[in-house]
Amino acid sequence: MIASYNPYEAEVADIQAIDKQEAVMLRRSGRARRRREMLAGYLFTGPMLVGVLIFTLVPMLLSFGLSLTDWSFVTGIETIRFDGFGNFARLFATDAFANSLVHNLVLLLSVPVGMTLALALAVVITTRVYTPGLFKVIFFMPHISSIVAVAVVWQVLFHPSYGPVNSMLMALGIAEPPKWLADPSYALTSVLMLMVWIDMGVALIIYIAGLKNIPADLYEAAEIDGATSWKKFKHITFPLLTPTTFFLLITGLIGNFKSFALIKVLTDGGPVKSTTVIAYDMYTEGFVNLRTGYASSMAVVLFAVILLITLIQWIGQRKWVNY
Amino acid sequence: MERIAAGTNKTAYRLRRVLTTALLLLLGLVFLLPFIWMLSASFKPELEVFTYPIQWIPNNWNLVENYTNVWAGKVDFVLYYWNSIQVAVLTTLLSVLVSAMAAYGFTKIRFRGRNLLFLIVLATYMIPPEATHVPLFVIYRWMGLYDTHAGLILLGGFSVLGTFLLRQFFEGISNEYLESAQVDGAGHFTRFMRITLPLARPALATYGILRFIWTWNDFQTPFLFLSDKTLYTIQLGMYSFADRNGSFYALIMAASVSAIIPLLVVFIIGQKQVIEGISFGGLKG
Amino acid sequence: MKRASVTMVVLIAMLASLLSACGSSNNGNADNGGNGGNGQNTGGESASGDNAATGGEETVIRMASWSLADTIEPILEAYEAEHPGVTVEYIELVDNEDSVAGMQKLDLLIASGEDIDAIMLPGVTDYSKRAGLNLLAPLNELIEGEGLDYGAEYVTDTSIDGTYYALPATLENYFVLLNKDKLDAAGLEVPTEWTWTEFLEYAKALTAGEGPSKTYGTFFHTWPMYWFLGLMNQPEKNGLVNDGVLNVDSPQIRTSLELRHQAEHVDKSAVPYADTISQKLAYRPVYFTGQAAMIITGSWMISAAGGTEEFPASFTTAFAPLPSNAPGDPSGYSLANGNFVGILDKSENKQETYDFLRWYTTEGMQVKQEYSAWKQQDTDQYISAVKAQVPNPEFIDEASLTYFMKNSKSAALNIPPTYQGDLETAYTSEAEKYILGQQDLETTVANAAAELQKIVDANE
Repeated sequence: MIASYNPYEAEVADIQAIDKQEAVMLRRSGRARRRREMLAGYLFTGPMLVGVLIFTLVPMLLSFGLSLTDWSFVTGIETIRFDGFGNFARLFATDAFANSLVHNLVLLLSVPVGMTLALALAVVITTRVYTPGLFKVIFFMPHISSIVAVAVVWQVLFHPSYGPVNSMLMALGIAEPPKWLADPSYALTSVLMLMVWIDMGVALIIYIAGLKNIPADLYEAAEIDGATSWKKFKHITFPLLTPTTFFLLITGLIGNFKSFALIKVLTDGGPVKSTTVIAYDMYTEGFVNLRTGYASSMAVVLFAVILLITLIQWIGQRKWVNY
Repeated sequence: MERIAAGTNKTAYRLRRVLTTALLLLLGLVFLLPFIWMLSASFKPELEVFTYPIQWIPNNWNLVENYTNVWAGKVDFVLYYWNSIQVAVLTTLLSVLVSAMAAYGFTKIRFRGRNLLFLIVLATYMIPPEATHVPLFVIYRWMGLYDTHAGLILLGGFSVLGTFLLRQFFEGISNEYLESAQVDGAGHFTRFMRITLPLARPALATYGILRFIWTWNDFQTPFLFLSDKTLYTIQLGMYSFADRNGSFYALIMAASVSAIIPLLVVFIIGQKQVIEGISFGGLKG
Repeated sequence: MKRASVTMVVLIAMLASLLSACGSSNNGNADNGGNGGNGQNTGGESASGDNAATGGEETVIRMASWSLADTIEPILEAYEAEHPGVTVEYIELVDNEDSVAGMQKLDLLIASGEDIDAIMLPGVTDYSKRAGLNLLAPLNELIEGEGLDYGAEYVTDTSIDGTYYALPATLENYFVLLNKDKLDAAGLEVPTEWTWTEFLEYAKALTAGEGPSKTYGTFFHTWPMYWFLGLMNQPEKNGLVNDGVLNVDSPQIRTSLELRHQAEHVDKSAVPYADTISQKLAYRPVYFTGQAAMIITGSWMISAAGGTEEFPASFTTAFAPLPSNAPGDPSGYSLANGNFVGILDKSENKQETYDFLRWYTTEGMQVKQEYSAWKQQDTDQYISAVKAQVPNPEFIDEASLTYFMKNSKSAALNIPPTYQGDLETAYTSEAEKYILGQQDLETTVANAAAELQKIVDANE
């Protein structure tokens, strides 16, 4: 029964249709048509490509080049000194770098956690509550509120001695509740929780837009067949949302890996360096300590790690993403 | 019998809905707290912003003074507000257009090197913007984009994220419609404008909302690439309330509350687009 | 393929023209950098270069800092009035006097080739870093040329290995601010000479209450200096590293750490460090709301004691010198710091800029009513100027302020190594472990010494 609304069906039909059409087309016009397609392809992607080239790719490659030098950007081009892989050697020799990398990897957890919450809320909000519009705004609020306000509210709720969270924990019989942001063993967890809180709203509205894209007749057909809510979610909602999930996972992990604004506002890497991340170290080295070459080598390693994580996902997508 | 069963079902359904709504509201409160704190702080005198235990309703009201200070004080808040609206609107329009075109190219046109190009584009998203600031700053000075709104708009407009997001949505747009249009002799341009864009309205609106908010809240880019005060955006303006004597949270929060209004408007208008967007189900039926 | 590349070329050309169109709308500032070398002579009218002949008479000095243009420009005008033929252009880097952000902007401007002659540096760490990068011009020849006796002119000595790279503008000393109302209530005198032990006794006596409304005797801010208070009162060798020699395994550092521990954990007379960092407590609200009765702070807080718009004063503030480490130790000394002004090495108007900076750091400071490193500054005039500016001059205890200012002694300026930032981060991290109860004093000192030695060795 359930198989009758197999989501793959439509997709498969689509693909077959394209293939048939293409075959006909190709026979008809052959190379001229291919060339026209190619031109159209470049025309449509051209503006983005040029923009990316100028504003990101060229600066990025320049920055990569600087990683092989001993240089401070304030001193002028003439003082650049080629240093081979010296920066990288120094980088891997420090504990601080490995430390930051581990923190980065721990913080990545906030992405799947936030996405799971967002997906559940998206389904509940679109189908099971009154005033869905209001809830979208509410859950999006931390993302548009000033980051200072978000940090302050967090500080208040998790105040080590007088905050409501610790008061509750103490009432529950925990004599020495964690000091959260002031506790080297809990500061990173605190940052992680806060990240979920702030970024969940984004995943939520993207999921809601994704839900909007699922053809209603699939659900209608399922209801006629008497499918339960869970079965509908498992066989329609989740599979058809996989492109959205894939997007959120990739960009979420990248974004999480390279951002440090929250850490700058909240902890400045402390206490006892327990919340440093690579991007934060890179910023400090580059703009505070003025070691451009060294900071660039951090950027290169950061990029390589992100690229690796993304490529693994990219290859893995065939196993679970339905287009 | 059947009717009665349907009746109780309906009641049970309603009851469940009310309960879920109530439960969600409770959870929602936690998400509203930052905003409530912002409001509350913006009504207080500076010295009472951080008193413990927290006073959600101010003891002493300083509302008029704070908001007057923000809107008519030494900082030209009105001008910064207007600048921000300009920059955010133009960035959003440019970014949505460029991203949608690119996403269409990457999903609906078959050309050589397509996947490789996309991966290169995506790869540029994998580096923290701070890592490219120095080269970018030099390029901006060289191109004359330093200290212009155009510089900000272009930087935000060519953001990669939108291309990726829209690409994922365009993948879900049935090729049948596009193909049938092709049979009618329509080229890619027509298919893009007449079919893809209307179909993707929820996705476009969602990305538009996000891009607008991110541009509006961006501090780093305008800080680096603007120096003329008449070009300042609202985030730079807000930053003026934190000087070397410390941050004046009452004023910063009054400014933040003022700054949130356009975001709410954009969010609500955008979400309306998402809801009103044609569901594919409707088309297919 | 061919057509595709043609398309690309066309697109790039279109984009380029779009960009240049956008750019031309506002590039006055950018062009100054683009002109390169001789841009200073033209001072705005960059017509076609034929005014180069007449341009030689007018010198334009470009100065950049994080200070507000409104506060600097009147001084520049005063200078221009006295020195015809010289124009000083001011580049305001930020509009909220945030020196950290300002320096970041300045670095980028310098990197992109903006013509700047004079820059202001917010402290000795920034000065050392940029002097170390050879960004600043050595001033020795200019000083000799003028025949200046540097030591007779300025309180602080900016020389690094015998070379001067900057002149001192403002002078920063450190002292203790005391809530005199609470002192009176507790029957305590305003100290004129004291030790850390007495400081801790004061703090204990000034602590009152329990729970959220508890008020503390003192508050230590999060800056690194609050972890080496026992070094800040030393007349010399008051850095973590002095002349390449580590100063961590020392009685001064032990005193510094122990006094923090005693106040927080034994006497419970200091705001707990966990609260300070988790709540991002700032010293102004903590002091002016009465949450802490004493804070250790610097010269910039003298006028704040008379109230500001955002932090109005509601009690009298008295001033006391930094406590000394033990009875009989030299007392009244304070680490010196301040703003410094230097000439960029690539400036082509070094002599004119030097002349201007000499005036700026002496008479200019007087005009600006700053607490300066100029030996001829008039302390009484400075105090009355401060009192004239603040909303509540009656809350500044003039007796103790005058006594403190006339008796305070500036320690020799200790120019930290270029890698001072690394040292402070490493040291702070160990000190945090100590105060948060993760390791004892001896482990802290030993670990800190080892970590810092690694940094020193790496920078040999």
